[in-house]
Amino acid sequence: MIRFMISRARLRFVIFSLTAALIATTHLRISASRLFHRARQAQIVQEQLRRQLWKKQVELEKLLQPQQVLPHLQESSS
Amino acid sequence: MNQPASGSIRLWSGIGLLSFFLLAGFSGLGARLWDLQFRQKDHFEQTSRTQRYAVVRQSPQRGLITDCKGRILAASTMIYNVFAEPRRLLQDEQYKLTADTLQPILNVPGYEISKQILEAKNPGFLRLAKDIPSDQQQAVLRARLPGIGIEEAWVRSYPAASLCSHVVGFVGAEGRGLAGIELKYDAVLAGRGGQDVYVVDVLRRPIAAYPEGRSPIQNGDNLVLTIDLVIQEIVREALQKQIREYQAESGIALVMDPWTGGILAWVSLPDFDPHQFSKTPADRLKNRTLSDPYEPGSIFKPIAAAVALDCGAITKDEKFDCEDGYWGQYGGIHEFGNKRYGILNVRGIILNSSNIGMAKIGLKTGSRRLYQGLRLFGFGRPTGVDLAGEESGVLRPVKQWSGYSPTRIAFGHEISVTALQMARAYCILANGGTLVQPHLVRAVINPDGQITDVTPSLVGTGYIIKPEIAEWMVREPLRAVVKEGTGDQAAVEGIEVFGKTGTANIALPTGGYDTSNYVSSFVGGAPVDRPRVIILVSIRKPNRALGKGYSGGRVAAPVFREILQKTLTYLDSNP
Repeated sequence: MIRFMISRARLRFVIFSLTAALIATTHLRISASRLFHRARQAQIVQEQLRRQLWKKQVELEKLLQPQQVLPHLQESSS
Repeated sequence: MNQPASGSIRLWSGIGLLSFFLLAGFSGLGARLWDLQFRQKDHFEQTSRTQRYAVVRQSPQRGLITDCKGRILAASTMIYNVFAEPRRLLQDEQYKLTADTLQPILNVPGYEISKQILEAKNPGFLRLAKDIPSDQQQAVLRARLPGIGIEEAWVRSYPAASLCSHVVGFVGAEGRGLAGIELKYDAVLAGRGGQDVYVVDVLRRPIAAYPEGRSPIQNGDNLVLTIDLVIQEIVREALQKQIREYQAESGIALVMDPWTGGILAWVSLPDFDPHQFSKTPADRLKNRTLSDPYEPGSIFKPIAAAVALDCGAITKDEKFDCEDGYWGQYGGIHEFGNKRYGILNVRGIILNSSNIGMAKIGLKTGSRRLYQGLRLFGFGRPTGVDLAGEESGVLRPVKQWSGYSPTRIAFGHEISVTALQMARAYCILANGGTLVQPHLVRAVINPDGQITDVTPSLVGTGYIIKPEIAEWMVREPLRAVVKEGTGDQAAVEGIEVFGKTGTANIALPTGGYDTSNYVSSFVGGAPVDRPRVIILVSIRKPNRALGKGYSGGRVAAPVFREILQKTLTYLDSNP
């Protein structure tokens, strides 16, 4: 019987290892979730910035229309 | 001896009772388990999915419309609106706090926000502010106000505004095309919505993707038009100036590439601002180039003469007696201004725009051949241009013609055409007699920038008239019209121009003609050797009372000249 019993130190080591593995797994999962959330937020911000840039581009296009530019050219040439 | 027996009975009955309760208990549990596992399976699965997943729906970005040089004509941009849920804000007078908080963010007085919430017709949704900048958007989100949210919405922008409104058209509140290219190509431009599914935590924050539930978004395809915005502006400016000067009712002008049928400019005045289409009177929304067939008058003569020459009914040098200003037969035919032309050949008839000469050419051609020739030119049926609502004009079948019909149709009466049909017919003359398909869309480009469709050109697929007849018509009579005839106002120094004037009476819906109003037209092109453009200008009802004239040569030809001069200069510097 004594032969099959694990020593107290070994038992502590096993319990510690299991606990550490559980904590590490939980930490990794939380980190993964947090990182995913942050990545998603960054993706949304990037998309918004891209849309803002596109909006500015369309506004600029409005100012560069021949309808706007030609009268100025005619004025300056006369 | 009796005592142990009764004790044993009690024990067994106790065991039996316990077994019964245990069995009943387990049966109950089993039943509940079955109920949860099978009967209410769908409900719990749904609840679990709702709690675990978040679905983010994405509406597609409508495709871009650009001119042939890549200038934007229509584009969709995303805007952010602040919305409220009034029924939630009305609980415990929560709206007061909301209005106080939103006042400095939206720069709207708090009492106005409160008033909007109190007077909201829809208790579920109220738009408080439209198209807010990103800093306001962030501030609203940071405030974390219950019953207040930010919605995303696509809006359609038309940077060219009214310049190209009749071609590009507009979209309705639902984002579907209602007119112009927007309507015709709605399915191509619209795209397809998609969705992303995320696994969410207890605070509904996405923590992982769920690819199985994802359907990819497909943004709309982009269109490149044949329109050149600079030419469009040149045309619009010239036409508008003349309409104002002659106090005319309306005007249309087209610039086409005679070799491909591509439309470089398409102006129909009055026009409208596509951003304000819902406030625009129906009359301004009308695309007259497509939907206003008219009796073409003299600009039709070269087409009828070309048909007569092509079928061999007449020869170029054949002489016709154009009488002395009036021909008493076939219901009586007058010359414009009662001019006396005497004997003329085909060149002379077109140069002087003789009605009597054309009537005699029509008679010689005969009804059937004239009809067939004009059908080949595409009259009496839509051209198939890529815009909705095209009219076919009226070219009645021969069996409905009277004895007078060949004499009248030959000089552009008893027939109605659209400006586009007329411009296409002159393209056929200018390119040596081959059929062209008028078109506005040059290419379809997918969101990845790859060309998925190119408008086919019908050049070279078939001759409508013999090349030598088309060439002669352009080089001889039509050039002479500009050099020495009624179209002298269309002449441009240093460029060989050809064309034809037209001053047509307006047919009344009740029959007969409006004798006091006219449609003044000029159609032609340049250079004669290899025409680069065909330009058609038609101005409806110039005010005769002004005393400035009303003929095509006086009203429309100067517009043609201005457009031609500027367009060729522009094309030379921007090949």
